[in-house]
Amino acid sequence: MGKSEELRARILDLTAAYFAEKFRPVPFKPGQSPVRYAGRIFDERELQRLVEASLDFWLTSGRFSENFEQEFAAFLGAEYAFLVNSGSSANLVAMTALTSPLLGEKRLQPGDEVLTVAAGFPTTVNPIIQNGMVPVFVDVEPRTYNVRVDQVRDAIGPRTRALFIAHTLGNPCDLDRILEIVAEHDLFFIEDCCDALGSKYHGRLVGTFGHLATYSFYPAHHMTTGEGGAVVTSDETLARAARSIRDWGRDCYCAGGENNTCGKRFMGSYGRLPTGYDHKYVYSHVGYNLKATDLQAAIGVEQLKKLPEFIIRRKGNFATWLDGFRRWELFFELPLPTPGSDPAWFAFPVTVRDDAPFSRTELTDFLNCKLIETRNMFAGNILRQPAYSDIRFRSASDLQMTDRVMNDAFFLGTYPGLSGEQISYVLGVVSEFVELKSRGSK
Amino acid sequence: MGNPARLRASVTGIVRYGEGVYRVTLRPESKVPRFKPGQFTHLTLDDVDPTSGFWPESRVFSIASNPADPVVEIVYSVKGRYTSRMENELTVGRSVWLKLPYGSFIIEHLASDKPVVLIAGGTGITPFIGFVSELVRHNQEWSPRPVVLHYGVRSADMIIHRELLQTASEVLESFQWDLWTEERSPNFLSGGVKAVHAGSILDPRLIVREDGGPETAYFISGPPAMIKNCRETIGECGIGRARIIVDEWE
Repeated sequence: MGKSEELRARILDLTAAYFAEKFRPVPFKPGQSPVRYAGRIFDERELQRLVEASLDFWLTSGRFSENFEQEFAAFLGAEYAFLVNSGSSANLVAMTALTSPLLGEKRLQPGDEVLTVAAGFPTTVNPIIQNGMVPVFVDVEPRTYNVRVDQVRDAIGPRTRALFIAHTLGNPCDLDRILEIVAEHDLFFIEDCCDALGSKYHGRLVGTFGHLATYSFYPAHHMTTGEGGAVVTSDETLARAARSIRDWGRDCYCAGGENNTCGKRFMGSYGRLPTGYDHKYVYSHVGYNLKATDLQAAIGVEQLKKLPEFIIRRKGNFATWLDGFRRWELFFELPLPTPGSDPAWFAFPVTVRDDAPFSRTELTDFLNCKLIETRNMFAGNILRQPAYSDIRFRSASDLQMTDRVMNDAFFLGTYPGLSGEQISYVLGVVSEFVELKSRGSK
Repeated sequence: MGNPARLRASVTGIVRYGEGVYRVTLRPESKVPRFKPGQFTHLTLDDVDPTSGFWPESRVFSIASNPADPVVEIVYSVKGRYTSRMENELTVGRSVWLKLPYGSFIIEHLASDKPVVLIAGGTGITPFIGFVSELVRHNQEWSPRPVVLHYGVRSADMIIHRELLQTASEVLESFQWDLWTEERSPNFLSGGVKAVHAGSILDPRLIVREDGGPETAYFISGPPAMIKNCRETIGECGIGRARIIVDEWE
């Protein structure tokens, strides 16, 4: 072993020792320790891999990114995975890929419509707007919080070309019916799986049904790379487009530190460039630089190994919440997995009933005072957000359920770091609140 | 293309065809990444330090093996400095590094009913080998797809993967191949070939006339001059650019 390899090994050993010291588990003290809705779960291996990547001092995507992309695609059973710097970037790349000239006449054009929901995360909708397309908002269902498929068909107009929807909080959409519509109307379909990594539908992982899928590895999610995300597809043409759009829009696919990967660097004719123009600087898409670094990818390589266990624990936590909340069905609409699905729940969503003696906000405020984190359903009704007051859009309905979600729904975490003890504590606090409010209403 | 990976591999076999043409079998230390027939790999004779991020000088070669194989096969012809190095340095047991898969010279939807004509010159046969072997492998599941291969060689003893081509013509209902050889009197046993064009180089005009149809796509692989001639001639026959797909290198 050379000197630098020896030093590397010692540094990694020390990293493990540092982890054991710095990140000791802290006992939960009910009422004093916060109960988070999400958080990173890691051990010394993520830290070691991160340090290892930093010792390479390879400052862009490299061997860890390559490794991660291979493993992630294999995990899903997809052909291609492209690591990007966030789930939002993944959505941007996926949507923009549908505008690629490589698709010929099938490419989406400004003014084309894309069906989506308003009860979701903004960066599912933003790329539609940013590509000059018109979002068409469809309402969501109670209890599944997913797109109302009965409205999807009715929402299709002469310029509707795509469907871009999330599997809300890990609950898969009714993919059987959606795929029927997609096939019938020859639509493109992007699955936003940012909250649904590991969820299955009829035994198959979500993200493998549509033309493209996107994932987020932000620390709140099923696995983390810090900032990070991925675009996944099994379509060769869309893969080429996605890679290009992620990488400055270039036609070249050399990795950092490589040259002439295509084997014809100086012999092509592109656009109106002189023949033989350096392929490294030929741009076939209007793209960005949305790559992640090897530092992030290194964390992801280790996290991916833990992902199956994370999924099991999320499902377990969801089941515990559901059990606990059943006693209050009078006051809460409880979540329902889509028939045929096996969700890897991102969270436990709940809607306060109209006739409950309290409001959602009263409850979440109360929980917050007890150091219990909750979250509203992201943007609520995105059309009511200030940023969207002037956008061009079409609405397929009055979005009644979307407004209900905005007003009355919230979620609790299911992340693997949530313990049975913490869930019991939260249920105790909810019980205290419900009793208080019930007494008060008599 | 798919997510490429870098992997160390050992040479496990070398077949010499003569005139500086070699078929090399390489067994990677880790699993062969998923690839599609027609794609290519980089090969470098120099060692790679995975921690450095840099990739040494390398050359590209079409992958001549089947995606289901645990090995990677390439065929190369000694043409310049690097391939001369390969001829001198590659021996059984020697380590090299590969980086694959790359390329879009892919016959889309292998299980399709659209007819294709494959035109291969010399070592240009290699991107088609994986494709033909996939057709043979999936013979029972896939519907027959009309495939005509026109394979040009200097002499019959330069035919690469002759056994595969023979097997393909025996088991695949709609596969046939023509041999074009510059030899006037080739010493060649049938090998399942439909026709032998002796003393001839590939004639794209004849190919289009005999085997072309309104939906036929033409895939061309071989030396630059041959590609240029085929592409231009087939274009002159009224075939649109979208249906002429070439595999060309610097």
